[in-house]
Amino acid sequence: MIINITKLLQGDISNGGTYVKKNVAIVVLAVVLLLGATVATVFYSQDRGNNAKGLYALDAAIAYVDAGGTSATPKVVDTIEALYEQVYGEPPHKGYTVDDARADAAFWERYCGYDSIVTVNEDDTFTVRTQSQGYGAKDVTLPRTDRMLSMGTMYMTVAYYLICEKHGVSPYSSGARDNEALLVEFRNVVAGGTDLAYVEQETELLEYIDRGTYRDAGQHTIGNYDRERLADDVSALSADGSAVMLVGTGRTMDKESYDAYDSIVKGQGGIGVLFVTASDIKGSFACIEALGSVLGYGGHTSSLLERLQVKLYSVYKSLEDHAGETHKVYWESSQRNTLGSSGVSKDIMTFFGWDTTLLTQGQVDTEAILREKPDVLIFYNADKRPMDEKMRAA
Amino acid sequence: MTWFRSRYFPLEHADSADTRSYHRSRRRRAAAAIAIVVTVLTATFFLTMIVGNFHISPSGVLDILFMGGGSAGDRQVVVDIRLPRVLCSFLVGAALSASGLAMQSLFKNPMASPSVLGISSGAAFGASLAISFGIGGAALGYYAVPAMAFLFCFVTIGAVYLLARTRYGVASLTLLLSGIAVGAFFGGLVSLMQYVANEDVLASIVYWTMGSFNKCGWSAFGMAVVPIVAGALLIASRSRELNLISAGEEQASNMGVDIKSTRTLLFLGTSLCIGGSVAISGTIGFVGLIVPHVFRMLVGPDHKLLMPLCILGGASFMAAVDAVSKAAFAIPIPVGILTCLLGAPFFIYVMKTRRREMWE
Repeated sequence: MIINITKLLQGDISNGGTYVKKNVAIVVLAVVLLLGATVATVFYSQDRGNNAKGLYALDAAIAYVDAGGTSATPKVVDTIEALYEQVYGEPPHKGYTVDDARADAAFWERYCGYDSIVTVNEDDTFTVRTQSQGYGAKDVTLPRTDRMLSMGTMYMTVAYYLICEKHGVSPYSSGARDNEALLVEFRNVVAGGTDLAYVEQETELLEYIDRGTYRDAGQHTIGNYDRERLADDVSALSADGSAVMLVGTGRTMDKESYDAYDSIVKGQGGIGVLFVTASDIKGSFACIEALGSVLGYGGHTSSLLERLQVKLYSVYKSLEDHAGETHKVYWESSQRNTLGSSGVSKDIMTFFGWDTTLLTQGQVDTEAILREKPDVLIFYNADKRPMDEKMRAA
Repeated sequence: MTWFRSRYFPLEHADSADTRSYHRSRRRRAAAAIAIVVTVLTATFFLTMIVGNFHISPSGVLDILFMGGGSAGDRQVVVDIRLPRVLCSFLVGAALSASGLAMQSLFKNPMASPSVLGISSGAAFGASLAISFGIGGAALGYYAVPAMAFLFCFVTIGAVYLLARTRYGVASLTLLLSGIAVGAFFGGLVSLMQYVANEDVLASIVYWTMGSFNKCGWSAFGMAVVPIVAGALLIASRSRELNLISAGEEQASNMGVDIKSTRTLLFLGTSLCIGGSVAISGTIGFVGLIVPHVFRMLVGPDHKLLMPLCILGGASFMAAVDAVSKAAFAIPIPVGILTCLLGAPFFIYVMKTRRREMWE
């Protein structure tokens, strides 16, 4: 056989030797490829198994958290607690009071001792220290607000937690969902803003929103809010005498835009704009306090903050049982981007003492993840991709 | 379109015997064409002033514009939001159309436009630098983004020109190729910044690169009006040279056109126009390509007439598309998306049906 093939390849056969040579070469090549593919398939299926594909090969712990849990909302603490439970188990140390937390100076100073950004004035107005790119820190005085246009999901989440606190129900519980008074109040306070597709992607609040009355801005960043539409929204919401404000992050808000939005809101009968944001956990508490005060939930704000601080302290103390134990984390959003290692998400990682090498804010390729061997993979609950796709095994 | 051109601009059929009569008639018809476009522009102004996301009646708008009536809230919307936006769209449409016409004629290439020469990408990169890293923010504040866009317009056109220049001069084809390469480079850098930007910054960059008049108030108008008017006048002042260059650079040179200085002045005018427009509205594609072609088909290749028509017609087109983009959809969409969605099919239609006629 070998001799014959050699002869054929050498074109020893007369009458169309070249033609025969080509065909034989193709057949030999096909056989070699077939054999190679068979061997590779057998080797792969025997030695690795189907579940070892992609990130399954890491055999890492997989945790799920709610999107939007890394900004200035009470969800930050819920996210921390959820991460602890999924990586270490139920926090063993519970039953603390806020005085216990305060007494732990290292903890309190680092994670809870925030500088308040809101002052209650004698005339019952509030002075809030806002942050924007254009003005930096700027004090803004606002009366008590009835309704808000929330550009960004964090503000509506804060409002939701505060309203739940007022009504004495746990957020996202059936008690909250079935509470008609809560629903009415939430819909009145969160009157519009961030587009509903984004609300659905980032929160679990869509079911609380009435699509018929909600003033959808069609955008989720304040800088892209159509100015005429904003004017129309404020005008419509304040028509019944309600005090309406626009709230959002001022991270990309230059002076001209700041003044323009403020002027539009006030010109249409609203009370002004509020740009607040947080860069760490304790800054989140400051934002919750400011927003809660302006929305008229002063007392409930204090109780909510204390509960959150106690919950955080419980996780903090429980983590002491794992001193010296560290984890490398890969935290992916539904767009396949990782979280960045800055801001509140960085503070969460610092709280746990976890390695953030893989948190680049961009996409990280599979090879790099496999090379770095993270032992905790975090995904969002709202991430609807199939598990194999998330694990890059599809 | 062909009937219009053959009826009103029968340049090719002019008989030497009645040249004077022909020129008289031609001037009359040119004046008629300009009058029509001015009428369209005026109509567009009123139409776009009564269209928007804020609910106010047309009579309410007219009352505010001419009688100073209306409530304070309505006046704010009409005078401080809608009016500067419409005027900015006029400016940008005029700037893009004039620049597109100049580029197409200068390079004798129907596909030439500021975006093909990489100028828009350069401006987008400059703006993205300011948005992402706050470069220039401390010194220029609100003007940092437009100033960086403006600066990178000049940087890009300088780079393109230097890359294309050889000891034998600057060939148009080489210049176009350099523009494509430099534009791709800056485009890559913008993508890189989008990739590493946080969510808020990313939204700003993406929205900005899609083009929008949402942020155009009186300050934006004030910022763009001087460079755009100066640039458009500069380009318009070279209409005679463009007529001759369109017939061939060698021929134009023999007719006394200083090709080098004309090209430099046109580059400068284009940079002023594009810098001014990109600075306030971001990058808007296809306007600089479509409008000159449409008017070239309508009135022929004489730049002395084409230029004012492109400026006025481009302004109308831009304002009309902006009105559609902000009010015709449940969610206002960036105007740059709409110009591409409308422009590309229209351009393909024109290209397939009137290929030869366009450049005759």
